[in-house]
Amino acid sequence: MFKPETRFLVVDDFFSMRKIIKNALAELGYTNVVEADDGVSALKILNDAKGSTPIDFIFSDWNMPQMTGFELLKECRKDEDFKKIPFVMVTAEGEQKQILDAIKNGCTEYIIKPFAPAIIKEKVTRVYTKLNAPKAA
Amino acid sequence: MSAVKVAIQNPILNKEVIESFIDGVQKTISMMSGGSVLAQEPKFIYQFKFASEVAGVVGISSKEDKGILVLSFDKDCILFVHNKMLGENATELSPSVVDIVGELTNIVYGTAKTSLNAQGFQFQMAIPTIVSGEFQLTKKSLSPTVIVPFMIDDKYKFSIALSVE
Repeated sequence: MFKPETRFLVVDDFFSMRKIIKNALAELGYTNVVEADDGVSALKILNDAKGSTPIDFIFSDWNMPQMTGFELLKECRKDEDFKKIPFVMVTAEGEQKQILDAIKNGCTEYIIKPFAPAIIKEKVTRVYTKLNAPKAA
Repeated sequence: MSAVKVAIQNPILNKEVIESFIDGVQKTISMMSGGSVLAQEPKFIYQFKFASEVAGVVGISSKEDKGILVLSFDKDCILFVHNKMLGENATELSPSVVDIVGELTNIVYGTAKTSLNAQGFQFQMAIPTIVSGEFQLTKKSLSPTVIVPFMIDDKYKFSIALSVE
């Protein structure tokens, strides 16, 4: 699994949902978590953290004021520094078209709300497995 | 045909829509609280007027049709849901408790929207607002509304209201 010091960014306009995700991460031993309440704040955190303590993993809601999670995803994927950060969308947007749009634009995993906290562990494990899968020769 | 009859034929108050919102509520609240959620008999009223202690309100729209969804809780009910979701022991309507009503409203609408749009509706997502304290929501115009009460574990009461514009 990821190292315990892995730095997570949790983005959601409702702090109760950020707390649910933080609690689930803490149960996995991850306590290095920063929070943002929309895409604009998230991008600022990503940029500010670039040189010193970069963000390693993003959980983001889709529908937020100012900048949505989908826009944040696209911003991340066109930035050389952020394009490889695992990005898990956590959203009530469950339509097939939206899931495909997110995946096409580089979303690593997708969680549809409502969810049981155990899904956070499942997705973190799946992302780790994907990143560490042996490369085809 | 009277204005009321025309309005109540608004697609937002049809059977599929109401059932999708009931399913969305049951799925969301049971998953997030771990409780058993039962819907009671829906009631139609012809003038939107709604009082509660804490509620999430979100504008809903599909094509030309507009309305609002209100998800409202008795205090002991939202405390139960909040404490189950966050593993806390809140006893008052703290900012955290009020915040969770907005998130639940968002999830209920998103869940219903996913199901309805698969049936050909075109509901759009919107960001909910939250009202708390002793309040009463009213609309001046005749606004046919369906109210569906729910119980969690036969003990805690909450409801949804769907009203057309």
